[in-house]
Amino acid sequence: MKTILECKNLCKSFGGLKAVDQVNFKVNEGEIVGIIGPNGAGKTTFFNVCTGVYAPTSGEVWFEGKNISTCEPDQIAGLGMARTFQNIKLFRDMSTLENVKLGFHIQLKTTLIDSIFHTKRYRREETFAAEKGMEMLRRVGIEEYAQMNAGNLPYGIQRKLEIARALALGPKILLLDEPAAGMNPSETMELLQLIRDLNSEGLTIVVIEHDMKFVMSLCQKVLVINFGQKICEGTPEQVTSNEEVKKAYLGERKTEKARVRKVAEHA
Amino acid sequence: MKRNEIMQKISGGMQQVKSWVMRRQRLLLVFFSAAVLLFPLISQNNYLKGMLVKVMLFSVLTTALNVINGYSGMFCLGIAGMMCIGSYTEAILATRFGISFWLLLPLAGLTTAVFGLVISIPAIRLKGIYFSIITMGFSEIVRLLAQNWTGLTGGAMGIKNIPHPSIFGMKLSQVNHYYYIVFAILALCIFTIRRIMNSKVGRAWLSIREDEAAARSLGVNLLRYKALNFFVAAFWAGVAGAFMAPYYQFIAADMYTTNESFNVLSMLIIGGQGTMVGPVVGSLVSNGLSELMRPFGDWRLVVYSVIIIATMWLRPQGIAGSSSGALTGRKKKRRQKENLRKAQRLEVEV
Repeated sequence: MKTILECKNLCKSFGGLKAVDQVNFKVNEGEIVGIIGPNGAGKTTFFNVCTGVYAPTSGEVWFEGKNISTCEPDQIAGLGMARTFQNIKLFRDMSTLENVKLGFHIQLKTTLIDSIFHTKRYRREETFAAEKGMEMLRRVGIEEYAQMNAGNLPYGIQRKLEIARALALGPKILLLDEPAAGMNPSETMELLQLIRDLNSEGLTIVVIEHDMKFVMSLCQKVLVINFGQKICEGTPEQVTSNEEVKKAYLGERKTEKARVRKVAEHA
Repeated sequence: MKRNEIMQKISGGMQQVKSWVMRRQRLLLVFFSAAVLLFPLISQNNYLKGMLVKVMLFSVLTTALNVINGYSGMFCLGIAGMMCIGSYTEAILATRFGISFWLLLPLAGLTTAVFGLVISIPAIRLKGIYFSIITMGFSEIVRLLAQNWTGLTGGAMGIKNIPHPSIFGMKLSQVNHYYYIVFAILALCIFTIRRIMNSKVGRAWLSIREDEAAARSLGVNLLRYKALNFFVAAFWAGVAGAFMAPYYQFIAADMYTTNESFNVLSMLIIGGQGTMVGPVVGSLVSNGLSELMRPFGDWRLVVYSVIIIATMWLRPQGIAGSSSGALTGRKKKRRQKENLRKAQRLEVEV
């Protein structure tokens, strides 16, 4: 199987804090990979380094056999990596459809002159963006919101819109940062189905998620991060039975004696 | 009445006016254009015509500033510098080489646009107030150059006797002529910017205003689009400056102080950032008010500023505005953030 995204000894530190620490990680084409870890483990920072928001302190990111460690986010988007954000980042004062149209930004070649004189290219590309944009909205099932301001949409719809916008890029790999946060169970189920459909069409997906059930039922491979370090990688079954993972999520079992001693110390 | 109630009443009223206007957009546009076009034929009042020329001139400048402040969300304080370059380009080339006004209009625009592009290279790498300071500094540098480079610009004496434009051998020196010229410039300016805003380029500018991180994640090259933004704004500011030179017949560096930048900025904020009509409304209200206040004599500026403060207090997004620009949208953004937080709290409870 072909590797699409690879991180080699990836490190990112903010001053003394090592947010991502020596992570080695591979994503193969056509996979759905989950990234889990406690709050503040460095999952989002990991995404940000992969998509070029931060330059890695050391280590490298490879995308389709190309070293993208020093690339800017817009260049990386141009190579075919799309993402969504944990704290939804929509263009709030633009309509839903216009948000999606921005997803086609790279594909459109309209220049300033084209737009002033309404040349053939302008007309062709605007119809393309409008039609394809509606198609993307239909894809995630929110086409009835097309003319609404993105900032006024309900929370779950905003999440879907972000995915539609990322899909408009026509990406090879899609990075989803907590896509199910703020969704009710039925919306989560729809999202699960959408991600599966996209994957069956050949899109590689990496997803950060807290909802264990979501990750376990969706992903073929799971990466667990804690304190910036990779503590485990494998199938969902392997991960759930791993001692380190249990420790990170549930804490360590303390003997009764130790607990009593600790209480006494605090008193 | 509490401030909130007043605000609600006003915004309710404005909503009604707005929806009424929106429904009859075309008709109103035709009606106003016709009225503005026919006015000089009917009226002999040169004072009023001169006023309207000024309103339209500042509408062009405010529209240019709106491209930067309203659409891409940067906070430019240097519009006077751009105007200055446009004016001096026109004045110098017209007085020394006798080049036609009609050729100089786009030429001055392009010169200014190129200067705008150059200054944008350091400026757009910075954000917020640092960007503003650079643009302000640029504007002052241009003004001081104009004041002290006596060989080129006439120094503190300025440039006098700038020739009137002519067409087919007819000299255009009447107020009426300038009235139609500036009307054409304003119409063309709004027309082009409107078209740009409905394209990929305009969307990219708006996306930069709304969320830079998201824009970059979709492949928008921030530096390129911000530079382009500056280019377009500087072009129209330069054209407006080039119009000023023959209209006033005399230009000097002290017409382009930072005061002038703030003047244009206040028109933009009063009218409403990020809208097409906002700049025109702002220019009309601001210029109109300062003329109407003449009977107050020395108190003119005080009354004027009180009215402006009241406008800002009651309608922070500007008279015609609804969207969030660099300055006016803060309240709205705060409200949106609160909503988001509420939603997240709900989610935790669930």
